[in-house]
Amino acid sequence: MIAVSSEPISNKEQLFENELLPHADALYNFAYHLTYNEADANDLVQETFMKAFRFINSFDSGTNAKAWLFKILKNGFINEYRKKKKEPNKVDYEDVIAYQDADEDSGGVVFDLREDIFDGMMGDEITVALNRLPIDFKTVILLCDIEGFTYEEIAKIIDIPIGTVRSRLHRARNMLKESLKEYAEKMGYK
Amino acid sequence: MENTTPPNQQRDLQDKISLLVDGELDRPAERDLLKKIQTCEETLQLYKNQVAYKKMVSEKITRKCCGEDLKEALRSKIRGL
Repeated sequence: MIAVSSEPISNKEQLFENELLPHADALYNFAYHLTYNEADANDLVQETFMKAFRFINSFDSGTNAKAWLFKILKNGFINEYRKKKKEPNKVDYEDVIAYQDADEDSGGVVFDLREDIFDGMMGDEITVALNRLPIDFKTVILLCDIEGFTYEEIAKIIDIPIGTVRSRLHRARNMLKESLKEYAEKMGYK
Repeated sequence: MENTTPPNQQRDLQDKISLLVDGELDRPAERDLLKKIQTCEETLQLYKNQVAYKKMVSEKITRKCCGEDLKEALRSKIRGL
């Protein structure tokens, strides 16, 4: 029998199929909430997988493929997509960091909503409120509360210290709850 | 329910509860906080609120899937490399 000369490529394809591709839906969901556009999310996910495949030799099988892919996608979004798009409704990344750091120094505000209010919320309202958040705050909620990444994984994905993940998450959740408060009041909650 | 905890301490408490619900507290701190949740109504309510928040976000926010077409397109692209 003739030896298969393309075996290394097959192995790469196998790795791609078994360890990377199963995260496509989660990546697409993340990309969609970042871009709020299906076509852009599609492009971002394709770019992410193509980059991952290009560097698949540096990926150790069995390590955290999902976190690796999310990091590639987030870098792609920050470094390329947003520079091209220059969306007027998006807050500049550096401005958000400055705002967020200032918030950390202020000691923050305690803001909470009762459990029964959350139970009565409709999915569409919550999705709209989430998508209104500045991108860096929305990102930590998506990574923690939807994808279930640990603080350590989030820190690696978005290149910030764990302490900043914690404070940004606190601020992001407060912002989301504040945004939902108005809706809750319209629904008759007090 | 009226809050009796001073604001700065309430923020610390809310932070700890978030860490607990996120699974980020170490074992001794987790044990202490669970004990407090069992004995303090205000802490119990904050805990219930945070659990409800996490449940709401994870279950109610619209999830989008890429579908098989995108996956198949990716398979074709890498085969062509």
